[in-house]
Amino acid sequence: MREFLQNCKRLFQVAKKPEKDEYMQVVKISGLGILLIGAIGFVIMLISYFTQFSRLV
Amino acid sequence: MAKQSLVKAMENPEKPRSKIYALQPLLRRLPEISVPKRHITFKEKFIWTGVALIIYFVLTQIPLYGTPAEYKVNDFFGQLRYVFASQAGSLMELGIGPIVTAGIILQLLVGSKVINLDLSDTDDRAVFTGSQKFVAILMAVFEGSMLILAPSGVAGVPRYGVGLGSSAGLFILFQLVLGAAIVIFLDEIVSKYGFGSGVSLFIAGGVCMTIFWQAIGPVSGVIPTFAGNLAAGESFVTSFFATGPSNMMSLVATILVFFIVVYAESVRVEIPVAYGKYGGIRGKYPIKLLYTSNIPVILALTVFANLRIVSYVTGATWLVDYTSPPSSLAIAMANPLQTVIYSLLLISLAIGFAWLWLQMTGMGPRDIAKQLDDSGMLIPGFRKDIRVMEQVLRKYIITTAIVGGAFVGIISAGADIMGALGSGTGILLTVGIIHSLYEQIAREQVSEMFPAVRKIIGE
Repeated sequence: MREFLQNCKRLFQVAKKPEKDEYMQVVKISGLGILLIGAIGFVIMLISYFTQFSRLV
Repeated sequence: MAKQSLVKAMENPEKPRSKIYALQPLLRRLPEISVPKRHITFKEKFIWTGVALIIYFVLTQIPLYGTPAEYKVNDFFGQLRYVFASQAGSLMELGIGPIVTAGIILQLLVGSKVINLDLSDTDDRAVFTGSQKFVAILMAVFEGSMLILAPSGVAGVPRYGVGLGSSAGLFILFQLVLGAAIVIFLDEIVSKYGFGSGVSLFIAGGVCMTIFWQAIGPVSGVIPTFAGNLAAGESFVTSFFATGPSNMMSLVATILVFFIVVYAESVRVEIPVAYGKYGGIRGKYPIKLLYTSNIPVILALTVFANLRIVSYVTGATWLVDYTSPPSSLAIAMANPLQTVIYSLLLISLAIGFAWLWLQMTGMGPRDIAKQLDDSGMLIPGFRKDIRVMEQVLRKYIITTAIVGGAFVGIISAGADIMGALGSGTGILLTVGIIHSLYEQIAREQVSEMFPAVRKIIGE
C-alpha cells in the first residue's frame, strides 16, 4: 500500500499535463462534437415531439 | 473457411480447439454484416456513421407498442440509461445493454481461460464475435423478460401492465429483442463501414441528445424554465436553483464536468524509451491517465444495472438504493449513507475492472514490454531484458490504471450528485468517445489524402 502511494506520487510528478493550446484544442473538438451530435438528436426529438409521433403509433 | 481451419489444425495439432467451437454451426447461421471487400472511402465512412446515428435517434422515438402511458413511473435504470444509450419506453429501452453484457461475460470467460480462445487468431476471433452476438440476443431476451416481470410501483401490476403469460406481454418482449437486434447490426455496420464502433457512437448520441433536450427542450428545459421564472418576476437566485429535476445549477455542473474531463483526457504519463540500435534514438511511450477508464465504468455500471433488474424482480429493493446515484445535491444530502456507499462501490468496481481489463485486452505490462522489445526499444537506464522492462512498466501502468479508474469513479459519482445533465459518467464517456473518434477521423483523412501513408500503415 505504501509503495503504491509512492508510485502514485511519482506518477503525478512525471505525468505530462496538457499545454494550454493542446487543452483548448481538445475543448474545441469535444465541444463541437457534442454540439453537432446533440443538434442532430435534438432536431429529431423536436420533430417527434411536435408531430406527437408517439401517439400516431 | 473450413479448409483454412483444417490447414491450421494440421499446423498446430497440439493446440486443442475450444469447446465453444461446438456452437459454430449455429453461429454460422446468424446473419452477419459482410466484411467490406474493398477500401471504404473516407466519405462513405462518414455517411455510414451518420446514417447509423440518425437511425439510432429515430429508434429512440418509436414507443413500444402496447405499453400503457404510465410506463415511465418506475424507471429503475434512471441515470444508468445514459451509459446504455437507452431511452425509456422506446424500442431502445434496452439500448446497448445486451451487447455490453455479452461482451463482459465472454471477455471474462476468455480472460479466465474457461473458454480457450486466442483472440489474435482469425478463426478464434470469428467464433468469439459470433458467440458475442448469440449471447447478446440471449441477454436481450433475459433483460426484456425481467423488465416485463418487474413491478410498476402499483401493487400487483407489472411494469408494462401486462405479464409475460399474455400475448401482449410476449409482443412487448419481441419488440425489446428486435430493438436489441437492430442495435447489434447497426454496431456491426459502424465497426466495419464507419468510424469507431456503434456502441460508443450511440452512447455519445444519447448523452448529447439528452443534454440538449434538458437544456433547451420545450418540455421543462433548464434555460426556458429559468427565463420563464425570471420573466414571472422571481429573483435570480430562486430561478437559478429552481426546484425540479434539473435547474441552472445542473447546467453549470455539466459545463464544469466537461472542462475537468477534457483536462484529464489529455494527461499522460510518458515513459522514456530508446532504440537499442541507431545510436539510441530517444522517444517516449505515452500512457493516458484515462488509459482504460471508460470501459471499466461501463462494466461497473452494467453490473449495477443487472443487479438492479434482479433486485426489482426478487423484491430486494435495498440493493437498488445502493446501486443508484442520487439524482441531485438535495437528494444526496438527504441520504448521506446511500451517497457514500454508492460512490465507494462505484469507485472500487471501476478500479477493479480497470485492473482486470488491462490483463485481458493485451494492454498489460507484459504485452507492452513484448511490443517494445519486438520493435527493438528499451528503457534507458535499465538492462535490455524483457523481464526488467515488464517490471518497470508494471509500476507505471498499474498505477496509471488504478489512479485513472479512481478518478473516473470520483468524477462520475460527483457529477451525478451535482445533477449534471447527461450524468457525469455520460459526459466522461462522451468526451472520450468524441476525442478518439476525432483522432481516428484525422488519421484516416491523412491516409486518404496521401495514399502512400495508407501503404505504410498497411491497409
